[in-house]
Amino acid sequence: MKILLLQLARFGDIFQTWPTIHALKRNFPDCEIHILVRSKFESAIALLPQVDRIWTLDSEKIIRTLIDGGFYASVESLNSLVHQLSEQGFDQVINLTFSNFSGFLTTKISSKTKRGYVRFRDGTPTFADSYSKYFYSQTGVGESNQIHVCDLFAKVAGTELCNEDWNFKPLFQRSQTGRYVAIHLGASHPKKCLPIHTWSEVVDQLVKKQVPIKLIGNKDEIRLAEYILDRTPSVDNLVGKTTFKETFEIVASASVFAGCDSSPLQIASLMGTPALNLSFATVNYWETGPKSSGSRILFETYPSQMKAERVADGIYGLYDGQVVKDSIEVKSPTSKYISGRNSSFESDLVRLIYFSGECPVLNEIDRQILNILKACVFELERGVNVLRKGFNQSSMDRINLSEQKIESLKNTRFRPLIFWFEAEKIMIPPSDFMTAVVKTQNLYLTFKNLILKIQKANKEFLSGSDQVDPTRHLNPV
Amino acid sequence: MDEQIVEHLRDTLVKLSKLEDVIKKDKGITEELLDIQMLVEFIKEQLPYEDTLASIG
Repeated sequence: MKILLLQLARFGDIFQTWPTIHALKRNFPDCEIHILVRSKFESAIALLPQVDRIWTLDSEKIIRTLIDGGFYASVESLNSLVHQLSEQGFDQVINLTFSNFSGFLTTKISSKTKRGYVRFRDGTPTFADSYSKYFYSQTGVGESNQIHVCDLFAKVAGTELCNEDWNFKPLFQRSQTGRYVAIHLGASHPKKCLPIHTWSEVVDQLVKKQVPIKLIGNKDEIRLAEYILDRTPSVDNLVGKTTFKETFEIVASASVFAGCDSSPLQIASLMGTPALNLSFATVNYWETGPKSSGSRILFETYPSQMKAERVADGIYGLYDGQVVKDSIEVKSPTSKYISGRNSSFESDLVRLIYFSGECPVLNEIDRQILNILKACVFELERGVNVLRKGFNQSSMDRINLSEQKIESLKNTRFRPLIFWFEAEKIMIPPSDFMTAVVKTQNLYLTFKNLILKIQKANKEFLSGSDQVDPTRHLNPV
Repeated sequence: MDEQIVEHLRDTLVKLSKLEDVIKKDKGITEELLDIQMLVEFIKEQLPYEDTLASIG
């Protein structure tokens, strides 16, 4: 079997793809795995022996072609890559990128089967598997996704991860030169970073407790390291001085890794190094947080709220085998994060829609909104029933109006349900009028049943029935 | 990315959008149209985050 993975995102996403590649090789030992990454990020995959061939998309070259040669020259350049990939005769193309461009590219590359974002023949977007559809409608900051990105990548690829898929440490661990903590000061965005003066206090407190520290990071973070060194000269500063392979080796041999949401945190997960992750509201730690056993997450809404003493105590706690207070524990790479923050009406609704979870309890406002949704879906059903007899403009108008009303409820707690509905609509392929009507009618029926089920479960809950099972008959993704 | 290149890419998107409309009107859904749409999405992903926020799913 020959598989092509498309991973056109950045370092962090590429590292988070490693376990999926391992799982594919575990499931299909004889399979040949190719991966397409952007040239700029090739180094993030080059260290993984399970990849048989790396293909690169040279974005800068395509832009230069666009500027020098015009539209058609750059299209030709893209199509040349498509042609080369198509000639490989892949059995499966798995798009793990979740971008509009990657959907076009995946559609154009010849393959027996496809997974991930793709396009219909008229160019409109759709999904080749149910987990990509889930990703589209429920993932992102502010949304209520319940699956870690690493696990989601695996599910899109049609596999499941086990602890064995995280064991990359033997590739990088070198002879121990004593215990130490590896700290990464930066992150991809300032809103994800602990302020440097707080880091400085953390480092100072750890040095006073005789904890050896190695600072790691890229060349753009040299100034952050210099700030620390000015105040605490005894730390080992490796920022901007190591290759990718050396960074892996340093993290692999560290007793503890500490850092915010960044690619070195993903490296720590791959190396099985316990991490203290400092997480803020700009990221969902249950989507991109640490995976190594024994890791801990400290959460605050804003970076400025994170106290140096709490961070230093957390790092020291992990280093010294003590309890880390007020933290979220990661038991193993395959265990789920349990905490208050990802438990809400919306997340319960996601569990109900996709994973046969329990129905969230509705308040008075929710009940009113649910009644509006119910009225809209009945209106949709009436409209589509008329269309079964032939095209009718006034029915089309009524359908459009009801769909607009549903869309306008996106900012309510029913947001996951409305996003589910929109993703399902995207799945309806371009076809003749009557086929589209039938498929739309089926979707409206499913939507109505979901609404009625929520309503019924809540009525039973309010009446105190012990027979309540709001999840029966609901299918997972 | 160099600001001049970013500006060039933004201008290109405007031109491509017009070309897309012309192709759709004259020829309908064709391979050429899909190629142009693919290029549009490629360019959007090269632009700063603020430009692409609305376009990436």
